[in-house]
Amino acid sequence: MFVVGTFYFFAIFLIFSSLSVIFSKNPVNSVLFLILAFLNSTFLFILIGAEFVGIILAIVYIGAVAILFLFVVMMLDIELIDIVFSVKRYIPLAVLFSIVIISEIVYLTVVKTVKGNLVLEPSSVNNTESIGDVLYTKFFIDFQLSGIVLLLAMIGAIVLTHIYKPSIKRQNISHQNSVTRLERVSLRNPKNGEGIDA
Amino acid sequence: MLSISYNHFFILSVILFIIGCFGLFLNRRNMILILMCIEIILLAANINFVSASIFLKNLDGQIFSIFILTIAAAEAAIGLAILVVYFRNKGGIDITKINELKD
Amino acid sequence: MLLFKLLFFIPLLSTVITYPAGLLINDRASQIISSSLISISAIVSWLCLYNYVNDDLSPFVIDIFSWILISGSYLDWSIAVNPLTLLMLTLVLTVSALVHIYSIEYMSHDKSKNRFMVYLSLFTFCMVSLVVSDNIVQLFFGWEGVGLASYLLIGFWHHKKTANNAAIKAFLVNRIADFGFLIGIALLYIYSDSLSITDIIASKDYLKSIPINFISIETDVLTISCFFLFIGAMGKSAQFGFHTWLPDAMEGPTPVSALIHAATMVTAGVFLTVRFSELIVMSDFILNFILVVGLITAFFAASVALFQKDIKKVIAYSTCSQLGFMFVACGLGAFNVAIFHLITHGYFKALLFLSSGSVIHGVHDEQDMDKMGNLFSKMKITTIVMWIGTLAIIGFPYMSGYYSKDLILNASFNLNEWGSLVYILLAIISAMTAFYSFRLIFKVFHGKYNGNYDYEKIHESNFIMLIPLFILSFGSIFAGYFFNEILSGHSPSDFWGGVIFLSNETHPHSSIYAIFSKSMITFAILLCIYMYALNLEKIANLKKQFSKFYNFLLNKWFFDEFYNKYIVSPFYNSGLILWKKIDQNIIDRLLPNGSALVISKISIFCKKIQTGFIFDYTFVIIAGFTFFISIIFYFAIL
Repeated sequence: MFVVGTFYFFAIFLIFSSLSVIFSKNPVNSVLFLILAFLNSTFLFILIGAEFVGIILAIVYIGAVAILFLFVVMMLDIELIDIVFSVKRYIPLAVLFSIVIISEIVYLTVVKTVKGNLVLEPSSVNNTESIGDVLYTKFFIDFQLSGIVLLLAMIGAIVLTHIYKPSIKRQNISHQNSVTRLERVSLRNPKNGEGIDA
Repeated sequence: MLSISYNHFFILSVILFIIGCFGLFLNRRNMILILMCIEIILLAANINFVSASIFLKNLDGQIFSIFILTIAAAEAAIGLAILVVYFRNKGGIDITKINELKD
Repeated sequence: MLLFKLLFFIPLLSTVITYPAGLLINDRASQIISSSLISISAIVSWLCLYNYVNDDLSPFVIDIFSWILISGSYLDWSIAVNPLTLLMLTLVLTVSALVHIYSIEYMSHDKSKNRFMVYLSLFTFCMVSLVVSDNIVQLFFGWEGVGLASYLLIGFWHHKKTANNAAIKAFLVNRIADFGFLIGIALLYIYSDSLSITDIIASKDYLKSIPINFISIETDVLTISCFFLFIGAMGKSAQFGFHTWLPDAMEGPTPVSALIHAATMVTAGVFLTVRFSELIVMSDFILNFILVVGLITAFFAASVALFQKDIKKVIAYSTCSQLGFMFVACGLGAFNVAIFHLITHGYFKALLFLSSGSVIHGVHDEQDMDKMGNLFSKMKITTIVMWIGTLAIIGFPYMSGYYSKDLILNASFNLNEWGSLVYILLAIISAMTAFYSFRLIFKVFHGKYNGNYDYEKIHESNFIMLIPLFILSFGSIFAGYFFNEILSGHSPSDFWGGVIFLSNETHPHSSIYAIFSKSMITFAILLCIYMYALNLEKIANLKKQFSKFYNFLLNKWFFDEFYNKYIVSPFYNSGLILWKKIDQNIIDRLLPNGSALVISKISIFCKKIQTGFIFDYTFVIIAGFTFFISIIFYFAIL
């Protein structure tokens, strides 16, 4: 009973906050509602029993991605305007499509269920332990690959946003190594009392 | 309705997915919203995977949802970098100005 | 034997090598080559005739080569050697050779002399193959060939729009008549099962005995097929109803008019009628029909020629009228007289045309007679030659026209009931002939000069142009006397030998009628002298008084206007409607243009989908996604 109630509470809150992401005027508010959505889904995961995934969701999504969003939203100069009139054309169609898909899905799951009634059972295994069992053994290569993907993302972000200023002093090792004597040293023969001009 | 079954979570994830999809084109304001809607979609997929793995007593779903997390973070980073560069070049992220796919 | 074959091959050779010779050497060479080749063939034709008469041969056929395979047997390209064809060939080849020589000088300023000579030689070849053919298909080939050459030559100056229109008109009117001719050929072939003329003539009794129902008229095959053959002859010889092309054909150069529309092509109709004379006499209806048509044509053409202004048109209508005379002779059963008149007419009509060409050349291409006059002092030889031709055409005693015309008049007594009426009509028409012929002479050569060209610059023509005139005037004077004994003297069947039908009836010359006809002609000449040589102001008054009658005659009985309004315009308008309204508007708009438009409209519509905004694209993606989900859903339910 308690499970059902909490589930519905968090589920409705999740849906409400994701709707607010789209329909709020202030983009900062949108990001904040996104954070709320992530939070709710974390709670849902913990309710089910996948607490490791839930906490990871909280750390990564809320702690990194949403902060990133906040940074960008606050850094860029975004105008606060209301929904433009021309969106209203699409709303009826959108409502229609969503009703169609949701009703189909509901029909499929409720009327013609495939795998019977799957119920929630309390499990005796610790979620973190069991994930740790599998992640570094069976899914080791995938784990490493995801690390490489993150490396790529980091490099990509830097490459995209890097501004090259030619006036900044920097080293070009290969260039320095390929210098010849003729470019650097020149012999002069100054007379007494005279200097070298250029 | 007396006990939660997999169907509830499945319908929830579908609803979230639909919201995310329609949020993609129902915004006429700025482009950050697009990235946020993508995050909502990925969240919906995550809920589906995790609930399926719990109800089917298989751990593969949760492992995969960790990887989804990784990829979502990477993609959000790159997407925001592109957005920043675009803002640098165009001076705004008004979505009605981004129509250069047209001839 | 070889001599006869040469008759056929020399014109063919001339046609083939003239144009390349003109291109390779120069224009003068093509003129000389074609003229000399045709002259050689003319001499050969006279030799052939002489040989035939001397050796007293009987008609035979030479086969040249096999042409078409029809139902198991070959149709041959052949030369029929008999008095009729040899006689026609002498006329055709002589006049053609003289016209070739004449046009060396007449067309000397034209820039396409080469083309002209080729067309003349082509015409000669087609006419020869028409005349010598023994089967109907070769005759039809020659028939169409001369029609084609006539089209090419009338429209020779193709930069003139009037010439082009006249050429098309000639070809079209001929075509309509040829349709009748083809029906006649088909009928003859179906019922006599042979295409050879001798075979068809041999089966004449059989053809007469088969009844046939043609548009609810009960006749026999012979009558119907002869009727259609005569329709073809009417078209070629410009008889009443089919005559509209002949005056417009004067748009071509004068040598063309002399050759084609005086001496040879228009006589092809008469030749056809005489060739099938054995068939035609079996049907009284056809004989009467030919007679009536000939009479009407002769009267009509003579009436129109009375007041024409253009010098060549007067001579053209005169030709039309004389052809009517020839058909009258055929209708009276006197086919040998018709051929006789054909030959004499060929000579003096060609003479008249060529000398009018000399006149036109002299006054620097002016054809309106109102602007000529008093040319006698400047062009003496042309004047004398034209007087000779005119005297020949009116039948001045002992000139050539005298013999043939009088024989036709006398032959009208072959008819039992209407003979005297026909005689009187013919006499009146001869009087009209005399009137307009002398009118031409007086307006052109005598009186006062009132033209625009400088009078002092008018000169006599070159001697190359005069040589054919001399030869033709010699023919005009003596051809009548020369051929009279042979063709229709006391025993014509000695000469003809059964090739054409000869009536055995002889009638005495009724002297009252002869006096009547001679006095009519004299009266006409005196009237003409009174009106044109002496009293010019009275003519203007008379014109005003009888203006309606004058206009009617001047505008050729409004025939062209009538044809235009009731025949040409409906076809033209219906063609226009079918083209503009139905073809363009409906069919073209719906099918090719419409389908192209639909595709372009669809593509414009599709282009609007590409707005460039990504959210529109995502909408489309999601819409498609919904669609596929629905499909999977429906498959999952079923």
